[in-house]
Amino acid sequence: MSSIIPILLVALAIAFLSINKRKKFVTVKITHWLLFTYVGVLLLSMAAAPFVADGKLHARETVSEKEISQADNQLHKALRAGRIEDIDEKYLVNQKNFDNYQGKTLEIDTIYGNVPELHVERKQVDDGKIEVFCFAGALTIDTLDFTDMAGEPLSYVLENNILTIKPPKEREVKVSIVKNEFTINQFTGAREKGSHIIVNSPYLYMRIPKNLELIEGTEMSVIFVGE
Amino acid sequence: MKVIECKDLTKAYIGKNALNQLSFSIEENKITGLVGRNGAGKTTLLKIIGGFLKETSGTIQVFSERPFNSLNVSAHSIFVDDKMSFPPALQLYELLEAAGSFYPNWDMDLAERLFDYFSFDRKAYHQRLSKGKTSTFNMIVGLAARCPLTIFDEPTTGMDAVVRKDFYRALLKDYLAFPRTIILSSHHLDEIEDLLEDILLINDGKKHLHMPMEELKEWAIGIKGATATVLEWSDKKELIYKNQIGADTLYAVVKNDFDEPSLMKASLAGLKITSVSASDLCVYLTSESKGGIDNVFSDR
Amino acid sequence: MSLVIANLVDIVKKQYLFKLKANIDSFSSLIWIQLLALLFSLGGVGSTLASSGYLSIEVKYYSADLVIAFTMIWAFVTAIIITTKPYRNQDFTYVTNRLSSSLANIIFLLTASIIGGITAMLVNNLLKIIAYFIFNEQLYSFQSGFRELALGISMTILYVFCISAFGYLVGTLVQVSKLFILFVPVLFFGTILLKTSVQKEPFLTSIFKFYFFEPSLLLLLLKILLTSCLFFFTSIAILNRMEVRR
Repeated sequence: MSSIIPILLVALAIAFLSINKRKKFVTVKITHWLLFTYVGVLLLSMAAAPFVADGKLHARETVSEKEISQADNQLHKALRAGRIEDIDEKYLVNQKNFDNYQGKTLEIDTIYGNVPELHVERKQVDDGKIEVFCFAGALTIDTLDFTDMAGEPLSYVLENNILTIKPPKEREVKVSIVKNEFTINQFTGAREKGSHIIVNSPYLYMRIPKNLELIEGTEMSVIFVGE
Repeated sequence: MKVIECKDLTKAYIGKNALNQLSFSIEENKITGLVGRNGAGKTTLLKIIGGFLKETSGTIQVFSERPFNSLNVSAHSIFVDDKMSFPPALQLYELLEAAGSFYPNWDMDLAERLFDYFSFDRKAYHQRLSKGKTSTFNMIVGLAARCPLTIFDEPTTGMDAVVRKDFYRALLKDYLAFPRTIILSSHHLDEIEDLLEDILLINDGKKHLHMPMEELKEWAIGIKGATATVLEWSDKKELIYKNQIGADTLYAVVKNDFDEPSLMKASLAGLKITSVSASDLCVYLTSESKGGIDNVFSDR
Repeated sequence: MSLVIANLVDIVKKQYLFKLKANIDSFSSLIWIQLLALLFSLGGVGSTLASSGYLSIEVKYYSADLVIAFTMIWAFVTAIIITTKPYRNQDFTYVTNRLSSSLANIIFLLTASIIGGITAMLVNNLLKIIAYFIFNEQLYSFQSGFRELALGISMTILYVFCISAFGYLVGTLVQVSKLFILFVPVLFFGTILLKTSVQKEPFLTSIFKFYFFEPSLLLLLLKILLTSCLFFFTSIAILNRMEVRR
C-alpha cells in the first residue's frame, strides 16, 4: 500500500515538469503515460479504499433520523416490557452482577449528572443476585451510525446497602469524515446543513431479587418493569 | 470546367478595398501564377478562394460553391503558405498522418519520400522548424494532399535557391502525373515562369491581366535607341515603361501591336527591338510611376 | 476530376480524433490541477466540536468538492483556449468548415468533461488512502454504493460540461471583441457589488441556487442540458460568421 505514495510523487513531479517545460521535454508518449498512470492510481485507490478498513478507515452505514428514533423506541419498549433478551447485543455497553446480596434494602444513588433512565425487574426468586445492565443510546454524526462508540461505560459500586452509579471517565471521540461530493449530496438529501450530531442518553436495567426493597436516591427515578 | 469563377469580387477592410470589383475565372487543371505587388490583394484573394475570408460583395464560386463555410471546397482545396498553423503537441510525422486522414487523395508515399529527401526528423515539432524548413514542410503537405485545387501563397518564403528549384521540379512532376488546378503566388516570377500556363496579374485589388503565359511573353516589346527615335516610334502606342539610359538613349516598353514590316523598319531606323521577360513586364505594369525607383534619385 | 461530396459527420469524426491528439496536453494540466486540489483538500474542509455529558465529539471533515471545483475551472479555461485563433487556424489547415470545427470542439469538450468528471470523482478514494497513510486519524466515509458513484459521476460530468459550454461562449465573445475580456469580469463582479446598492439577492447567488440547489435530478438534467445547448448554439452562430487567418 505504501508504494502508492512514491508513485504519486513521481506522477506529481512529472505533472509539474510537463507544465513548466512542456515545450521542451514532454512528448506525446509521456503525456499518454502520465494520463494512464494517473487513471491507474485512481482506480487502484478505488479498489483499495474498501480494504484498508483495519480500524482506521471505515465505510459506515448511513441511517436516517427516522430509523434512529425508531430504533430508540424499540429499545425503550423492550426495556419497559422487560424483554432484554430481544435487544441487539450491540446496544449492551456493560453488565455487572452482584452475588449473595444479604441486605433487605437497597438504595440506589448516582453522582452522574445526566440521570439515566432506570428500569427495574423483580425476579420471581430470592437468589440474592443483583444484575445491572447498561444499554447505549444511539450516536450518529451526519447520519453515520457511531452507536458502537457512544456507549458510556458506567461503573457501579455496592457499599453499605447503597448501589452508586458512577459516571464514566470523560471521553473524547475524534472522528474524521470524508464527505461525499456535492454532486452526490445534491440528490441524496444530505445537503450541507453543517454538522448534525445526535446523541441519545443511555438506559440502565436492573434485575433484583423478589423481596428486595428498593430505595430511590434523590436523583434517581425508577420504573418497575411490568407495573 | 471552371474551377474558380468570380464576378465583381470586392473585399473591404476598414477604409480600404483590398479587392475591388475583381472578375476572372480559372479553368480546371491549369497552373496559374498570381502576380502583383506587395499589398495588391493576392493573399486576400487566395484566402477568399480558400474560404478563410468572407467576400464583402460580388460573387465567388469554387467548384460551383461559395467557398466560405463550404465543407466541399475545404475538402478539395488546400491553402499552403508559411503561416499554416499546426498543433504544437504533434510531431511532424503525426501531422502528415493527420493530413492523410483528412484529404481523400493524400499520397503518403510521396509525402514520406519528400520528407526523407528534405531530411526531416519524424519526431521534430513544427513550431521549432526554421523559416525555410517550415515552408518546405508545408509544401510537402500541399503536394501530397493532391487536392483538385491547390493554392500556394508565397510557398518559397525562406527557402534557399536549391530547395526552391527542387520544389518547382517536384511541383511540375507531380502536376504532370496528377493534373490539378494550381494557383501559385510568388515574387520570384522569373523562377516560375516556365512552370506557369496562365498568369493573373492584379494591382490595387483589380485585375490587370489574365492571359496564357505564352501570350504574355509576346504582349510587349522593348525598344532601345536614340531618345527622339524611340519617342517617335512609341508615340501612338501604349507606353508601359521608359527609362533614360545615359544622355541620349531611351529604353521603352510598349504594347506589342506592331506588325512584322513595321518592326523591320524600326530595326532599320537603328532601334533595338527586344522581348520583355514576363517578370520585368509585370513589374513595369504594376509600378506606380512610369520611371521606377530611379526617378526618386533623379534631379536631386 | 470527379469530386467526392464531403460528409459533415465524417469530417467531424476525423476532426474530433485529430483534436484529441492535438490537445492531449490539456489532460496533463487536468491531472496537475486535480492533484493541486487534492493537496488543498488534505487540510480538511472544517471541523465541529460537540459534547454531551462526559462525551465530547470532535469531527473533522474531508471532501473532494474542491477537486470538482478545480476541474470546472479547468474545463472553463480549456474551452476558452480552444476558441482562440491558433486553435481555429489549426482546423483550417486541414478540412473543415466553421460548423464542423465547432461540433468537433463540442465533442472534444464532452470527452474532456467525461474524463475530468470521472477522475474528479475518483480522487475521493485517493484522498482517503493518502489521509489514511499520512494522518493518524480515525477516518470514516459514507458507504456509497455503485448507484451513488454513478449518480455523482454523471452529475459531475454534466456540471463540468455546462461550465465548458459557458467557457466556449466566453471564448467566442472574446474572439469577436477583446472588450469582452473586460466586460465578463466586470459583469461578474458587478453583480456582486450591485447587491449592496439594491436590496436583493445577488444575481450570481440566484444562478448558483438555480443549479446547485435543485433537488430534482430530472429538472437539473433539463436545466443543465438546455443551458449547455443555448451556450453552444450561440457560439456556433457567432463563430459561423467569423473569418479565420486574417
